[in-house]
Amino acid sequence: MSGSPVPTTDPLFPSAWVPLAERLCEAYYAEFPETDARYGQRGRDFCVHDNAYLLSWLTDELDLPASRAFGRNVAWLAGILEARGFPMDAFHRNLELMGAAVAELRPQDKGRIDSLLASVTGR
Amino acid sequence: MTTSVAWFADVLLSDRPTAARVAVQTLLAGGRDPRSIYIDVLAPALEEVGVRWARGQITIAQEHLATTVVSSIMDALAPQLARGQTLPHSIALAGTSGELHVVGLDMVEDFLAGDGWETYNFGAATPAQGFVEFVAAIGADAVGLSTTLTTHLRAAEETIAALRLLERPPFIIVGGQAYGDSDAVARAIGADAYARDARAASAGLGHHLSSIGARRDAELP
Repeated sequence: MSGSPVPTTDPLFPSAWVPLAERLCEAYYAEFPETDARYGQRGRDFCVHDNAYLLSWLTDELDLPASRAFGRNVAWLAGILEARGFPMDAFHRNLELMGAAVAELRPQDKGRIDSLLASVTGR
Repeated sequence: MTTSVAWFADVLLSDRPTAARVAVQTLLAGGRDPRSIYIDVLAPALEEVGVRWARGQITIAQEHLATTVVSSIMDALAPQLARGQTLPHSIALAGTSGELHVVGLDMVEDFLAGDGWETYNFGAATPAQGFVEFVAAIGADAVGLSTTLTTHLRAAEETIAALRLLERPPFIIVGGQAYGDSDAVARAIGADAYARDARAASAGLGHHLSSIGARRDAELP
């Protein structure tokens, strides 16, 4: 659990994804424990915030392929994080964890999920 | 991005952002079309302000101030968009439920009011049910929905579905960054048309009215 309210002003913040986002953040922080020293509780709060959006963006694109919104939104978020010094390798690993979680929920979409993730991580 | 857009963004983010109003007056005095100022100066300058926030070069507060200054410039410019005609048509405009970004929607209203439409602008985060009831009550000919965040497209889709159930469904045009400049997304959620900016909305609705007129002419004995 992040322990704090998710920092958002969006009335339609995708809060249904918060429980899964919290589990993703636990996995992420286990791999990148140094994140706490750098960003503290605020970092954990935004981890949940950003992952809730990432989950929403990915599943929305699976439901509405014409939108091509996942790549656009991820590029936008990556730009914001990179400009503030967030390591892109860690961000890409977070995307992989997030994609794997969605693939568990929607195994029939695994191929498309892998393709979408490859397009944004270059891996 | 043109030099004038970057320069105008600089002015909006300076310690005297109200100088932007003087800059617009100077453009007008030089013969610049007010609609061009909306599309080619104000809108891209705000996009540039957003890019600078994303890059960490300015704060959210500065972005809000720049937006407010642009809105006040639009208030002053809007009367100059009038084409000197009144159309027997009405359009209801709204930021979809949850949507907080509406400068683009306000630009569409200014263009359409200038074209002669009767406009009803509900602004940000409009609750769908009350909006649909209003559209039905006034018998609006068209509806314009603006959506910036892709996570809000479902709300747009639900509003459109409710509008389709009306006895006299309006023509539905949508816009905003959520569509990624894609007409296909607009169609997929049930809209009749997509407009990338206020100029396109004005042209698209004008074309729609022409097609209605042609159909009515063809039906006359």
